[in-house]
Amino acid sequence: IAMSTFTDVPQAPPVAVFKLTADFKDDPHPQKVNLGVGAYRTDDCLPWVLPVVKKVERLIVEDESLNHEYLPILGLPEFRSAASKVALGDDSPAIKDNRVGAVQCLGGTGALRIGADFLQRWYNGTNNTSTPIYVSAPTWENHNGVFKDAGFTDIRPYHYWDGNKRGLDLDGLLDDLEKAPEKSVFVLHACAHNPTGTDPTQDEWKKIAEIMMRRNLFVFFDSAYQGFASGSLEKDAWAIRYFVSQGFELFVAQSFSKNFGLYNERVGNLTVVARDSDNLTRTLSQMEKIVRTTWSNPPSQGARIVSKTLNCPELFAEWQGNVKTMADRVLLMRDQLRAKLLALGTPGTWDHITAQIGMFSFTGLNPKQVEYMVKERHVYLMASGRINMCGLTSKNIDYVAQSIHEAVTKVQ
Amino acid sequence: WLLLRSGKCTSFMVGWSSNGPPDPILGVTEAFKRDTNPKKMNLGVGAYRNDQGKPFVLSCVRKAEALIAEKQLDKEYLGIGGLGEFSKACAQLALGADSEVLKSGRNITVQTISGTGSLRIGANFLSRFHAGPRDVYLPKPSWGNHTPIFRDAGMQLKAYRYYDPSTCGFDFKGALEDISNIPEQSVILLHACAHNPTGVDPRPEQWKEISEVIKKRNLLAFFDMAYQGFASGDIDRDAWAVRYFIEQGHNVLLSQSFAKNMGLYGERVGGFSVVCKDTDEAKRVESQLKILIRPIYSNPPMNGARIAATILNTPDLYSLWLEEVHGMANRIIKMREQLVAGLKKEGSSHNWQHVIDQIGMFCFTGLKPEQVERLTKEFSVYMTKDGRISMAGVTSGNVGYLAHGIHAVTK
Repeated sequence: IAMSTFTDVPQAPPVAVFKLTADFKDDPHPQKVNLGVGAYRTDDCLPWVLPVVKKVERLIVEDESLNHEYLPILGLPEFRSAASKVALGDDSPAIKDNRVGAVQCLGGTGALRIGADFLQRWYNGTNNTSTPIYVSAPTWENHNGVFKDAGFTDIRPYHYWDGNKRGLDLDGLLDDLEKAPEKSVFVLHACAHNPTGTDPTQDEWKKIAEIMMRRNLFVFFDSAYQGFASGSLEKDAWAIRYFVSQGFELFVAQSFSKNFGLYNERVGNLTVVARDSDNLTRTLSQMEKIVRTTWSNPPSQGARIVSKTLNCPELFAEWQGNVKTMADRVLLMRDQLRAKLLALGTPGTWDHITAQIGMFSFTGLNPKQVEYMVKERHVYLMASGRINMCGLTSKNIDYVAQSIHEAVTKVQ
Repeated sequence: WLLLRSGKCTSFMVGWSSNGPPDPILGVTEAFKRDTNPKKMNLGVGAYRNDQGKPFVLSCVRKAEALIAEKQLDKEYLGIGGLGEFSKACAQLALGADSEVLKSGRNITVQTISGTGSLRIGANFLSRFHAGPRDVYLPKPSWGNHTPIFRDAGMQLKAYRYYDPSTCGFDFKGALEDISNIPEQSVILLHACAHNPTGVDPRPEQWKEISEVIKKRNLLAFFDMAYQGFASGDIDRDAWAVRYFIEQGHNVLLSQSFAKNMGLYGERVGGFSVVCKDTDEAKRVESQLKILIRPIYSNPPMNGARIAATILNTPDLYSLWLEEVHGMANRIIKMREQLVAGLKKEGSSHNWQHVIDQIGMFCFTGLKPEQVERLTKEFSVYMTKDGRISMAGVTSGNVGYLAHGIHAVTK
């Protein structure tokens, strides 16, 4: 065999956030801090397997009646229904109306992808690749990749982060909604916006919903942090439930990576709220076809853990406690970081650190300042200025605060 | 409370779009479940059953799970390419420990979502980067899901002759003829062993000739190996064709599944490999595979890969696994023999030798759709319309009943 088929395959750049962690790993500096990739850390800066997860895993391993047979294409039924309930609420009228269904997917990414693939095939006509897909500016970078690889050719930003006021650009956002072509798809972060940590208030959500309903725009929620943001499942699902109450048909891509700490088991759920059960049934049947050529059927372990937990009141309560533990530690770090920056007299206002919510904070550091942080101080964060609050601990917070102080005062 | 303004609701269901038809393979199981006949048999989906007709969790799997539980590992994200210990062991299992490819590091192997996920990543990769024609040649027939996988990835499907219904065996002449006419640089998909759905595999001498023609036509060989160990009971024997092709200089694509041979079906354990020209090409290909994987599911699930890696990398467990795979394959072989014996006993005048000659989980009985329908309706024996039965669903307890039913609809 002479010429290689793959001679012309170019070297692709590494995914930025993983490159950051790789560089961090290689760094020998004793005070290095990783504020990059979004995974929870304890105050000892260690990964945390939730106690309820450990408990349930033991139950699973000890249960000799369990086997490793295929799940149905759409996933573990008890998982799907329990997961949708978590998002929509136990007493959701939509669930009572039998117009809520779900597809168990590989993490939040998988849920987004199945939803995107479905929309490309069946939404706004059939096989329509030109429906505009709106993602927030900025957004989780993989949103672009998911919709692009699903075939969409017109992926646009909607105004979101206002760098000057360090908050939500509501006017810009509402304006984009008014101007978007009808039937455009909007990817909304249900809570704990990634990367800015800035969420609309309830009143702001109401304004968003009003325009979306009036202009016939499609609602696609990305819900990766329910419970993790405020510590309350209900509070973090408010926007989703509000939209459902307003009569929207919508998708919710749920991830259980963070709120269950099950990152590597790839536990996700695409919740589908349709007008009625007939529409729901046909939609799910088409999603089944998409799943079959993507991964056939989803992995069992993570779904079993989540399902057992959500469906048992005791375990559910224990889980809520574990989630609150994580959320509380993040809130504490936010408080302390802001307090330390104020104490240092670091130029600028730092209220956004405590006003923002969830795992991430958009510090407002510019690329040069970020470079300083990484190169001079060995504090690793994304070029956008995004930090993972979970990477902060009582042991490193002084060093980080000092580093930010230096970056802001020394580098313009 | 609920304001459903029907006119304004964004209904994403286009009015005329219909329910998707039930998946032909998995749909069989659904119908089986609804049947109340105590003698019913599910010979549809290919999942191994023991002689009591029950799912079989391998001992080596249980032992590996216990070991893993002790370790109290964290649940941090795997890299996009998955668990390193797994993908290395996975490649070694397929290629052999002494493989020149492994020594030179010119393969890239990534962990995938079992065989389906592997094929899809491969198909996506070809769609994006393959310079040759967009045609993928499948054997006729092939696993039903191959076609939509490649199609959804943007490739086009063609076929080469494979199964000879007149002999219930391999149409070697037809295959060679068709392959020799495939346009250069096209992709040809080959089942490494235990062809699904027919159970008909080429003999080594035949593989050698196939390799020659593929070389002559400069085709890209894509192996689907979902049954290594499960076919003959011997993992090296079942990988022979893949290894031979590589020795002959083919830089192959390879999909592996651990669903059947480790019984890890629902854990979704698989691998996708590209044998490249050199390590530089392997790096480039790897980087692009990651770009493809990330927008589908970001990174793969840990549990199954950890179990598989533990088994492959722990000598005691590895030996135990080889024994258990051998056991599963043997039971299947025994059932084949018993089925043929049973048919003879029933007084069937047909030649059922192909049931014994075929290999792996599936048997292409040669039954016609009308006969299949009767077998299902009158005897509650569930199988796919093409006459394929999963031998794994046959037990010493029901083989007689099956023989009786088959004879009844074919006499």
